[in-house]
Amino acid sequence: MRTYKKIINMRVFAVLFFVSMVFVSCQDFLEEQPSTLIDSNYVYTTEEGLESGVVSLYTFYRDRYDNNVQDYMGSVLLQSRSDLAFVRSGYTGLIGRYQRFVSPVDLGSQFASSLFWKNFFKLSSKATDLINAAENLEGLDPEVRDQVIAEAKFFRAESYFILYRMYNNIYVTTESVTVDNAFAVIQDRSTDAEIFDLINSDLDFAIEHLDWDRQFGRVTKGTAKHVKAKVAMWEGDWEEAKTQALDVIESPDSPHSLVSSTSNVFSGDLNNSEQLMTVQIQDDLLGGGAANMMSANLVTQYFQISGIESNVEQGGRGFSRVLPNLYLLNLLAEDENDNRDDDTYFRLKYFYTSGPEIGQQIQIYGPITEEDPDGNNVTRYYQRLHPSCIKFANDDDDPTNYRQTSNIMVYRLAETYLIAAEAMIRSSGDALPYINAIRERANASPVTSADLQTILDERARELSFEGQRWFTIKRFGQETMNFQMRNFAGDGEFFPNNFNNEKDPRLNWQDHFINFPIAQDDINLLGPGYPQNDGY
Amino acid sequence: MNIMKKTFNWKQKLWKMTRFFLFIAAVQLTALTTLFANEAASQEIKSISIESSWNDITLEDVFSDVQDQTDYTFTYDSKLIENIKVTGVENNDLSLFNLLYYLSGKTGLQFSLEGKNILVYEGVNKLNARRNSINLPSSTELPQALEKLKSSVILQVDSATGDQLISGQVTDETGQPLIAATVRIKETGQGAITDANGQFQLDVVDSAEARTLVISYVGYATQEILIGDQTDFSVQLGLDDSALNEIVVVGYGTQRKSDLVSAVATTDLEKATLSPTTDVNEMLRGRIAGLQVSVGGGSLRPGGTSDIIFRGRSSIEGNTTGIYVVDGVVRNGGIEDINPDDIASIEFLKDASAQAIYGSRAVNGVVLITTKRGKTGEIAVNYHGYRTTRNIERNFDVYSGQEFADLRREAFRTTNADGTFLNDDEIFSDVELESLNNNRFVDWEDELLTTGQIDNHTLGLTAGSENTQVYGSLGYFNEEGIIPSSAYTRSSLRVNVNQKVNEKLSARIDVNLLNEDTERAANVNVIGFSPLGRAFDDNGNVIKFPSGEDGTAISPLWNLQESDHDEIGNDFIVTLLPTYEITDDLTYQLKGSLTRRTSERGQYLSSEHGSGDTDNGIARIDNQLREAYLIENILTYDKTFNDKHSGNLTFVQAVDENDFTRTFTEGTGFINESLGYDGISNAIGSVFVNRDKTRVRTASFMGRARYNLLDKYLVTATLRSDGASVNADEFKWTNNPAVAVAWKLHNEDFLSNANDIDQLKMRVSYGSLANALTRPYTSLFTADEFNYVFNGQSAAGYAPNVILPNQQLRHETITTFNTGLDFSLFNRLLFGSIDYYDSRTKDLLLRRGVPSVTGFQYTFFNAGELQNKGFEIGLQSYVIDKEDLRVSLSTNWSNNSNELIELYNDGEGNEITEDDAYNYFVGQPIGVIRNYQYDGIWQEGDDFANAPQANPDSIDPQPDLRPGDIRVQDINGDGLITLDDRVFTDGNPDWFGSFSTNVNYKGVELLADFYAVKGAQRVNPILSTFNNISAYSGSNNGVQVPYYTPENPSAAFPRPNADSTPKYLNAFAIRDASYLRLRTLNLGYNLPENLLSNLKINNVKVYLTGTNVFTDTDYLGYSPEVNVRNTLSSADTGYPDAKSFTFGIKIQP
Repeated sequence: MRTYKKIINMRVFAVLFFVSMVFVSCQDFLEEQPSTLIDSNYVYTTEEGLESGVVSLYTFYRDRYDNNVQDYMGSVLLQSRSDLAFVRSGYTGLIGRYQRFVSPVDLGSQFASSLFWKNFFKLSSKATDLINAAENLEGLDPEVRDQVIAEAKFFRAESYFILYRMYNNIYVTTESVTVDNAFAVIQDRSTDAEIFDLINSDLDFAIEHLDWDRQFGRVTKGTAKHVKAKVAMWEGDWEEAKTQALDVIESPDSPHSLVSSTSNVFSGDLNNSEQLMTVQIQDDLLGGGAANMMSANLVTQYFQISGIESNVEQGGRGFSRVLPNLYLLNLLAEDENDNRDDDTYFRLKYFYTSGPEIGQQIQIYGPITEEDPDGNNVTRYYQRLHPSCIKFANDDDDPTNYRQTSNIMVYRLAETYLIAAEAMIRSSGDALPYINAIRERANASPVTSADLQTILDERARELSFEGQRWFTIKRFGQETMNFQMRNFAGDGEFFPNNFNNEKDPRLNWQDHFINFPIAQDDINLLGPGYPQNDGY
Repeated sequence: MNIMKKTFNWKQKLWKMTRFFLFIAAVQLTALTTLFANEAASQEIKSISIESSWNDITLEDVFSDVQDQTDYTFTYDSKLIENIKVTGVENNDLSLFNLLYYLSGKTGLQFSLEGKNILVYEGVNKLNARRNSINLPSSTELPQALEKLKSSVILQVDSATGDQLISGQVTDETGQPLIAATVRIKETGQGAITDANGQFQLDVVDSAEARTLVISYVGYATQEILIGDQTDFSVQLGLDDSALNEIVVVGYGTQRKSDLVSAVATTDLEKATLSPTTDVNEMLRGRIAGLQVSVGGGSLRPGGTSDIIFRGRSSIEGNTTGIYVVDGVVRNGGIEDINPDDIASIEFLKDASAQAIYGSRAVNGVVLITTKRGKTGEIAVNYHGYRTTRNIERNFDVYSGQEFADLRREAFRTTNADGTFLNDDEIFSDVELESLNNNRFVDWEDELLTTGQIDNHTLGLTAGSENTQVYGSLGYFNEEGIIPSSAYTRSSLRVNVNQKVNEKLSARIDVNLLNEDTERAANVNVIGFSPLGRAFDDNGNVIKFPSGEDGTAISPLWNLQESDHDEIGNDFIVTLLPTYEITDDLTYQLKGSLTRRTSERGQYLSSEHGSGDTDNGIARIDNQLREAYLIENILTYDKTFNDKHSGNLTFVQAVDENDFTRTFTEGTGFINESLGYDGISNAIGSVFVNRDKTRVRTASFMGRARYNLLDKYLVTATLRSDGASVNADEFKWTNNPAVAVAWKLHNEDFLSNANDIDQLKMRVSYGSLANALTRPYTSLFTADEFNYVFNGQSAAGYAPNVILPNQQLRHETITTFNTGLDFSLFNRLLFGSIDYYDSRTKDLLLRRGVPSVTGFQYTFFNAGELQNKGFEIGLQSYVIDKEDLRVSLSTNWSNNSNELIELYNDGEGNEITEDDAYNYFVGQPIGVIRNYQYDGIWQEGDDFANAPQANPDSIDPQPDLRPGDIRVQDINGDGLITLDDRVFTDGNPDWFGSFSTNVNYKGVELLADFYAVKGAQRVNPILSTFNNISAYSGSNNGVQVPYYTPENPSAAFPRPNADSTPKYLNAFAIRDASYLRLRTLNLGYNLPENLLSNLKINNVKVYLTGTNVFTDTDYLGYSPEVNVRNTLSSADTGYPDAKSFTFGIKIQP
């Protein structure tokens, strides 16, 4: 009996034990199956996946604008470093005055690394992955394949072009990254020839396969041609630049034309005939991106004065960080009919919106001028009443807030005109109609002769604060860059707090700043011989 | 010693005998043996000769042999004499008296003669030597040997006609009857043993002599009671947690502390639970050598929890915090649900051999928590309640209004080109000027901080029949924080049930319910907010911009009033543990546990709130569900083969799964804001939903063998196999062995005469364990969402993000060598243990950066080796151990050195020894601070021209270097400051430890507990944050320091600068964070028993506790343990430490 009982016990136990063993012994138990994450295979092996991959490239391209690093410096860092701006405060101020982002180890270099170096390499390599996947995916509709590759190639070219112009010593590749090759040591930068060959072949493919007319926000044949023209200018291939630029301006297929007046260029959602590339940001919509403070960085704090509320018409709510300097304001003032400083691109005057002086211009602070050599409370003037760039203040912005969500213009036809004009000046052709088309639209009197200085000045008037100035003067060469920076950067004696001290960008400028320093963290990941830019 | 005549009353004996047999039968008490001999006349036992040619036989066999040789019998609790071995000399005759006398001296046992029956007790002096191996000397050596001994042999006459009959009941600390406790009269030696109801009866022979009753029981503190005229006694024994025979909970079973092979630490629960907190980790601080408690990140907020770090960080990206095993069940995540009053004991497993049984998650230490359980007997109720008040503690001041204004003036002067002050109206707003002119400022600490308060009540209940025992408790904890609107309320219910189904099958069913209600404060800037301006307008309303709109800083009071942030949590934990005895030796146990935690967090930022105004109000609802289950099959084979060998085999197969689901919804734009976050469905702006779901599973097999040879040599060997779902496909499983040996030197012959040594045990263990990455899906190639919008239409975008998937991701292996010594000297005047360990983590899980040109940032990678080594010492002493006065001291001390030994090779096989991006440096500890060497403040007249910092070839040159700037050292003397001039600073403490003293005088207890950390280094944010709290910019207020000005050149603090952070501020801010703190000062009073006897209450204790009473440190801040950031918050940026005072009362039946 006892033995019998024991056997039963053993059986019960054995069954229990066995059942639980079976429960886990299958290897499946440890297999991972994420339920809220998409498998990358979807992105690289299906048509919809490849198309969604292309969408992500636009998002990466937008990232630097809505990334809240130091009050959204990603959207204004390039603007702050120019001969046309006075930078008053903040970390962007330190960068714009060449106090930071001047050494591979300072914090500014780290910020710039995340906003530019890392970001655009991420964009280019995600584009490469899509290109390689689309090229090798069997059964893909050839038309879709070409579209995907064309858009991806545009972004790869655009990223490398931005990186090259900022950081100079860059490495380009068409190879996809895996864990196996990720640690392959990169010993040296790519040569200029390698870089431009890749950029050009990518852009050629994009130009060939992209249409002129696409959904607003997408890159088009016009975008690719515009960038190709800029690349050609950089290479000194004036003919190519001219061809591409004129194609965008004059080709019968091109849907692009200048809008009728300067006040319309930046109005509304920017879906106009002049735009060539617009970063899309929209409220309350999936994928609409986050708010940014691009405009707030550029607009003064006039609302601090009692009797005036911030309103979009006067620029909206700003904190007066990167401002047009006197050099730029004087260029705009050269022709008194030029309306680009008449509350279209720039606003010079502010008015009371309430109280006894309603409607009157505010003049409680004043700048240093010949008539008034002491100015009137100059520090406050720069903070609260200084002229502002209002290109990025949008009609439907919230006037009570620094953060805005509206589309941002990146490339537009006015620049194509000036590229065409410059290319002609540098090679052959009549540049005047192209310059004057821009001037006449701004109600400025046409020029009768044009040289490179005319181009520089006109670009300043028309395109300043759109993020191209740094590249333009760099393209003109070290000498131009040195001259512009040492003479015009900042506001010199007009802002005595900064004049002739450590905050004077004219004094801080050094030749080697023509290339940005590659952050030490980024250099460390490359081979021991990988070159930092000269001078750092 | 008394030798008494006796006459034997056989009726009484027979009654006693029957009672013994009855309760043995009834309760199946395993280990009580009683034998009786024939009635015989009393004899002088000194004249009885015993032939003692025993060769290493158990004491039980000795007794049995003596019984054979004589007509005397022994009555004893076999637990008492377990494992004691005796060796005699051949052909040697000893008198029975001498034998007993010698045995008593060596074992601490006491013998009492009642007629022909010899009662065996635990000694009066429980701290007496407890020798497990006894060599009887020859009869010639004996007299000399006996002289050295303190023995107790009591020979008494059991009188049939006692003068006085006394009786009573003995109960344990919870009021349950203690069976087979020894009751003895000190003066006469007469004794009795309690029955199944804990009852005893004693017929006192010579009541004139009998004055003291001594009650003892294994594992409990012996009590002495004056008899007087009393005849009925009710005695409650308290746990004796210092006894060597203490039963210690180890993985999958219990062991006698003296049999432990591994490093296991037991917490002094009495001291630990004095901290008025819900955070069990915080209670463990200073209680266990080698254990650090990390209290950053808001863990001090009401309801917050901290992390434990044991023996340094043994992993970088893998799991680093210890695991908790509650009543044998491994917990994932915290133990917030445990009410400290429910805890019966806390043990900590330290070495690989001990941890091996819990496997891959156990490498960082295992906290074993045993909760209280029910006992057979009457219903008993106990209560613990306390109230605590808390106040902020700090060792700094902030600038007053005028001082702050001066600071700002100076900061702007520094940046002014001509070095002159700017006009006040250029740097102050109108509101600020008004404030300065009226000399009226805001004290934000006054406005924002309050006195915190805690109320805690726990009501416990135990009850039980023979087959069912229940422990239940209800707990309520409420804390109002020192930051407004930070509060926490917890209600908990625990029911632990033991159910015996039949002789073979029993089960444990535990249910734990918890309800949490947390109010999370908005961020509150107490230090940094400008004192200039006004907090309230004339009508008493909060002003949104206290300093005017210039500063744009919104009043913290405003944000508090315009926001709402609550969290409700519910935990449900149920554990089922059926145990089935297959045979006497073989047991099967199934362990099943289910944990389910839900929480809902709601947040509303109104359209007036600083962060909500953009969106016209933001509502957020965050729903989280965590579910975990655990199933273990455990098979245990326990066998004593013969006198010399015993062993134990355990096999465990276990699986567990942890599921986490989260739905986060954010809606913006509200026309009617009255509903707060509950009105989220009315959002007219954007609605954002994020869904997150992860599942982590592990599976394992474990086999463990324990072997005990001659009670001198103990071996434990473990082999386990661990599988983890987070590992890459081909790398799921890892096998790891561990072995531990212990040598009980005090049982060796050569130490048998060393009377000063009570215990001496050496332990060595060596073993490895696997540790996995904590985040799932990193070996998989997954894509994230990067949606975009084209012309107002959403488009779905997907791409892999910055983490490069590693398809060879696997466990890291942590191999630990541990050696230790447990000792007890001079009758436990001094006892404790010393451990040394060396632990190596190989195939280290770390982040490895990939060049940005790849588009990825890093991958999780197995490479390199990390070492932790150190000493741990724990000492205790009963300086005075008397009935009325007990003084004890205890201390523990540990150090740890952490060093990265190896990193990885680059793609071409060259060794990489530095990774600046992730701060890995071969030869340095993890988390080392690498920065320049601070060297003072530049002063007027210094050699600026040749300053390395100013040299244009320096990596970050300062061409405008001037007095008041921070000076750093040119370490390599090349005249430049370059990356090579950086030095390493190890932030880890050189050592840390605690010291406590406990005095107990006639029911009054005083405890003082100090905690010290020496040589810790940190970057102090108070000194390093430019814009906030360190206030160098003058835009925000900060911690008051004598900063540099041209008029008052400071050699210790840099010059304020309105514009840019002084360079090398982080190097400047590296400060020593050593401290000594009186953590706990406790005064307790146990009400005299005679006051309580009518109330059927045995013990009422009232106490006062001060926490963080005093801190000695040079480190500026609220506490050297918690770095203050710019805002005080109950979210992530740090909740300040506080000084608190508690009044409490504990009632036990």
